[in-house]
Formats: sequence, C-alpha cells, structure tokens
Amino acid sequence: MKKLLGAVCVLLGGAWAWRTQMSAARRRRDTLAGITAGLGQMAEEIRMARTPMPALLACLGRSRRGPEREFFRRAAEALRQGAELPQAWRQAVDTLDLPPQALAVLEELGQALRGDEEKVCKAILLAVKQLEKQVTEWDERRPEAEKRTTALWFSASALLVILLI
Amino acid sequence: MEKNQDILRYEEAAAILPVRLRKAALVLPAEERKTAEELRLRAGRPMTVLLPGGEKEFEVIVEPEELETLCDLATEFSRYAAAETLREGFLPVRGGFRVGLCGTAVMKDGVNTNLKNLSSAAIRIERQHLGVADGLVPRLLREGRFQNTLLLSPPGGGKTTLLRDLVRCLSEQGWRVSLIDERGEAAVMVRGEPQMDVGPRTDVLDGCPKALAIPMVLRAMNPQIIAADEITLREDLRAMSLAAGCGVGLLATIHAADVGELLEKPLYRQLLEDRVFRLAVCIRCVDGERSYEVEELP
Repeated sequence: MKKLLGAVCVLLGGAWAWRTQMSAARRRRDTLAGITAGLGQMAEEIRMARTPMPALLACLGRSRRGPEREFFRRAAEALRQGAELPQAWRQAVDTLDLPPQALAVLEELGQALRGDEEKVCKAILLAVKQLEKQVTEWDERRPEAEKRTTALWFSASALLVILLI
Repeated sequence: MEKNQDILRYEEAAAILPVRLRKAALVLPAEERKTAEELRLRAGRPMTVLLPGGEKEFEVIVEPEELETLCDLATEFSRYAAAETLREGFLPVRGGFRVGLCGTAVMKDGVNTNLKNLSSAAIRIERQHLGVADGLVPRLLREGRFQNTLLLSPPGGGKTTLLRDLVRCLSEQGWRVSLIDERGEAAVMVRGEPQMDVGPRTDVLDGCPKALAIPMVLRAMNPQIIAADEITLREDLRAMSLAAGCGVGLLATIHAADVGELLEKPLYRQLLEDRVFRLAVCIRCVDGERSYEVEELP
C-alpha cells in the first residue's frame, strides 16, 4: 500500500514538473510574441506620430498586457530617472525570461535605437522580423518539443516508480 | 539670488552634455559660470566655454561619438521627433536651451533633410531676464493703444531677450499676443510647451517662416498683437504691412544699432515710408548695463 502511495506521489510530482515546464515554455513564447507586437507598435508610432521615446515607452508600458508591459514600463522608468536609452533598454531586457537568441536580438536593438526615423524604424523592424521568425520556429517545434517533454517526464517518473517498487 | 540663478542655468546647460564632458564643464569656477554664454564642442578639439572675454578651453577633447550622444540627450533619444529643427541645424531643449549643430548636410532634391557626421555643437545658455521690459510697456502705448514697435540693436544686443519679456508683459496685461518664433529662440518650444515664460495669453507659432506664419495667426488666432523676431526678408515686411492693415499691433526686432542705421537700409526704408511702425526701442549697452530708449520713427 505504501509503495503504491509512493508511486502515485512520484507520478504526481512528475506530472507537476511537466506541467510547470510546459507552462513556463508557453509563457516565454507569449512574452516573445507580446514584445514583438509591442515593437511593431513602437515602429508604427514613430513613423506615424513621431512620438518621443520616453512617452512612447511609457505608453507601451500602459497599453500592453502581460510581461511585455513590465518590460516597456521598466525601460520608461529607467529613462525617466536619467539613464541613457541603451542602458535603460538593457536593464529592462535583463529582467526578461527569454531564450538567449531572443535576448541577443533585443540587446542589439537597444544599441540601435538612435539616429533618425529611418534608422530607428529599420532597426526595430529588423528585430521584429528576427523575433517573429523565432516565434514561428518555436510554434513549429512546439508539438514535437511538448511530446518529447511529456515522454521524458513520464519515463523518468515511471523509472523512479519501478526502482522504488 | 540672480547670481545663483545664473549658476543654476549653467549647471542645467551642462546637464545636457554626455557624462565625461559634463564633469569637465562643472569644473568651471562659480564666477565664470555666472557669465558663461555658450558651451562649444568641436570633434577632436577641446571643449570650450564662451565667456564675455572670449572662449576658454577645458582640458577634455571632444570625441565625435560624444556629439552624437549630445544629440541623443538633447532630443531625449528621439532624434526623429526633432527632425524639423535638426535639419535647420538646431535643437530646442527642455529647460529653454538651444543646441546649434554642424555636420554633413544630407541633401535630397536640393533640400537639406538631415545632418549627419556631427562635427560641432554649441549649447546656448539662455537666461530669461524677467522684468527687463516692465517699465517699457507703458511707453509703447498711446491712449491705451499699442503702437507698432521695432526693437533695434546690433547682433548680440539683447533684442530677443527684450522681445520675449515685452511679449510676457503685454500678455500679462491682458493683450492677446501671437508670437512668431521662426528660429525657436524666443519661446523655445519643446513638444508644444514654451520653455521660456512668454505670458499667459501668448500663442506661439514656431518653426514657420514669418511670411507664412503672420497670415496664419491672423486667420486662426485673432491676435491683438503679433510679435516676430528678426525680420530680414522683403516677404516678412510685406506680411507685416498686411497685418498692420488689419489693425493688429506689431512688435518686431531688426538688426540695426539705431534709427539712423535703419534708415540707411533700403529694405526697411519702404516700411518706414509706409509708416507701418511708429516707435523704435534702441537697446544700448554701456559697461555691461543695458538701457532702452524709445524713439518716434519718422
């Protein structure tokens, strides 16, 4: 009876760990998609309204949802406190839970957010393209990755149960 | 109190600089900070401060990258939002400062569209001098009616400072004033807000040639007085005459030491013959003290 109970606990623990990993992966994907959309909005605002950067970041920090809202809000706040834009941007990027490739794209963008409208918009749109590609690849890989993760956690739990029994 | 204000203005101007240059600028003794007129940066050369006695060098060499950073700081990292004035070679900065820039002009269809490879910058330390026009306003009125007035002085004589304060005084006394600030020096508009005190009833149209701006404010703002800095072109004079014909009071500055010099300039002779302007305020500077003499125009 005790062994059975232990086995159930191990399986439940495995299921919980699997669920946590899956939801973390989905959250990262949604954050990336949200930031990509926010950057698109940023380029649009610059092109159409020439909204100055502090006001633009603050506006995105209010209008977006989820973790990207916090990202833009942090960047706006650092800028308001007197940090230079690349520094403020980097500080905000450092708080993001994203894959290293996405973080690299965002960090690079922080260095390129200077110059005239054409230059800034080009840099943003390039970053949007790169991030969209990453989101697409992620979505393409997701069924297989989820299957692999499920199999991994199930196998590990089952192995542990067998060993315990 | 005024001395402290002058030092504060210098420090505010220095705050626009990139960190390394800012530190160097703040080394200047308090006595010189009070009188500093400009901070000047030239790529590859030492940063200087313009004092009444001439330029004084700091011990830091300006890196070209620092001029780009200055431009970013002055525009709050939004150079695209300042494109109109940047292509004219200057940036109005929050606090009422003005950064003049030199570099390579980007020409498109014969028009300068941008400045790149910045090579020089000058931060003009604007000081408002509130109250210089306080005693002057009653002398520009006849039976409660504002007389069209020219402000005369040689370059650097304080015409814009006097114009700004006259506009403030007239505005505070209830006149509806439209200020045409083509070069952005009088009101120093940053994102729609005047950085200088130009009074509560003043409407500012900046960045627009005076010849276009005057009919615009006449149609749109129903002004009682139109004020403009530096009328230099025949079209400006024509627009001024048009406004005078509509019964609007006029206040403008012109480069001329006195009425005699004004009469010698053919461009302005017609304006005087048409009796568009009735009074002139001549700004005289003796031992650093400015005085204002009101003269009837012929």
